[in-house]
Amino acid sequence: MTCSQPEVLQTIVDEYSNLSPETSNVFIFRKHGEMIAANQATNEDQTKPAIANFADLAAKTDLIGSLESLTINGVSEQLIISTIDDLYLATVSSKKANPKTLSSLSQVLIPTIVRLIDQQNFDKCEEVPQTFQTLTIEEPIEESIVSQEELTVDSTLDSDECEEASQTLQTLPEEEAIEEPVMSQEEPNMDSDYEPESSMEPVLPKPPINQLMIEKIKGMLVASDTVRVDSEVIESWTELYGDKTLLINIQTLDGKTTTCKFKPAKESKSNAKGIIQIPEKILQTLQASKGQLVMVSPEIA
Amino acid sequence: MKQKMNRTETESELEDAAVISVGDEDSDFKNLTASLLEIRKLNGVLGAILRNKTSAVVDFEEQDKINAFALLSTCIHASSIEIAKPLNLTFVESVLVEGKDAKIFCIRLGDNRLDVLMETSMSEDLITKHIQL
Repeated sequence: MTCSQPEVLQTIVDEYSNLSPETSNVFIFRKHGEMIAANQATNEDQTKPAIANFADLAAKTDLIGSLESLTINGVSEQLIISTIDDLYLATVSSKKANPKTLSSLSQVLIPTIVRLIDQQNFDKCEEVPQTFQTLTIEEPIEESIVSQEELTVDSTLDSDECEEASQTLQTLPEEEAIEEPVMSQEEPNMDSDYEPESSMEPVLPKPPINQLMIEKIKGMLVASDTVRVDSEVIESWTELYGDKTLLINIQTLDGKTTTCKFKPAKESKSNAKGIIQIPEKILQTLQASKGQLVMVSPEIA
Repeated sequence: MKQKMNRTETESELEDAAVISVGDEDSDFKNLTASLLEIRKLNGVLGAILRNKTSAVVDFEEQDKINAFALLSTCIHASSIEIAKPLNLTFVESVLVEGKDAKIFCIRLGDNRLDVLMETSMSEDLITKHIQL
């Protein structure tokens, strides 16, 4: 069983104050202003004007590129709003709060969880088209209604909503019920990232994101433009993209990115699980060092 | 002797910076102007504005972006107060706005305000260290 992103984020926000007792307010909102989660001490009267003013400021920051984070230092407290993909995490903490704990939570833990949920949702979406492909036109009408339920019920619906949806489908007149599968073939109810099967271009899956720890490599035989990655990660990419030539996109938690070639890490030399071995030159480009975490994803060459 | 030389150097540098003055400058402002010139020399600083109610000193690498920077720093000042207020943050001492390409550090120093545009890799602590009142 999987949880939706808001549920998970609400749990994190609830636990945040336990992990960092000096933090009084925590809330997460989308870039367009929608509130996702807030701790008990934070109410709408606080978040609404803060988010509105933040959005107003964010819209005016062309000079410095898109707004990544905002830190406001008060006399004894500080507000930090930082970006996590299409979300913003806002925390109000005492200045006495341990900065390492705060940055571990806001820059490592929460971004990792958000990306894992996104990855999980992506995987769920990927399973839907497979069910869809098993449909055949010769199927009896009753069976196709059942299959249609599987197809059109949104994965975020709860069980009551699912039941209601299935009842609606069952009560459809026969003609509508027959036509419906054809409609749903054209517009499957899932992420808009997926194009219909009839499209001429092959559908490429959204690149998965993995978080790996940096290990520095050096030596005469080390190519300066190639990183070495956990072979399990490479296998999963090969399964997704087949024979396509891939490059690796590496992003640090500071937002520095680079794209380069990759090959499997030599497992005999180290415990290569969860590790990315990066040569000095690429480390300099990323302004990163050994032990730091980076997000990696495949990119078609 | 050295002090005197330094003062002469600073004074000549002050003449190079764009100073918009509409009133008498207080001593803090003068000291901060000298700090601003030191800050501008730091690697990674792209421009800075020092202002109070009556005067402003602008020192910027790209002249065509002075207006955009002045407007943005004013907006940061106003917005940060409005963002902080409902969250019970009393008195905004400083604000750091980080973008993909650059960041802006705004600090209140009594009646004066110093806004510095810098590269993302630069630490704002370095700016604070160079401020002398």
